[in-house]
Amino acid sequence: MGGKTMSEQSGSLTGLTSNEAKEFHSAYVQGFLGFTAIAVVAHILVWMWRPWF
Amino acid sequence: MYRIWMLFDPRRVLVANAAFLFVLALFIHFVLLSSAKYNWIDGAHSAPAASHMEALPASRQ
Repeated sequence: MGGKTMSEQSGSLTGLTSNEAKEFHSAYVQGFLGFTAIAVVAHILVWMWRPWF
Repeated sequence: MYRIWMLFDPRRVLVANAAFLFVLALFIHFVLLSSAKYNWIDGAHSAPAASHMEALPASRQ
C-alpha cells in the first residue's frame, strides 16, 4: 500500500503523511504571505491617495 | 501547525479559501465604488448626473 506503515499515517484523517502535510504547509504559508504582502502594498497606496482616519 | 492538513483536506481548503477571498474582494470593491470618496472611476459624484445637464439651445431652423 504505497510503502507506508500505519504508524506514519496514524491520526491523519485526510490521508496525508506528516511530510506531505509539512510540504503543503510551507507552500500554503508562502502563498498567504505573498497575498498579505500585496494587500499591505495596496492599503499603503490607498492610504497615500485618501486616508480614511 | 502543519498537522492541520492531516485534519482538513488541502484541496477543499484551497477551493473554499479562494472562493471566499474572491467574493470578499468583489464585495469590498463594489462597496468602495458605491461610495463617493473612494470611487476611482467617476471620482466624487455627490450630485446626481442630471444636475449637470443643461437645456439645449433652441434650434435655428
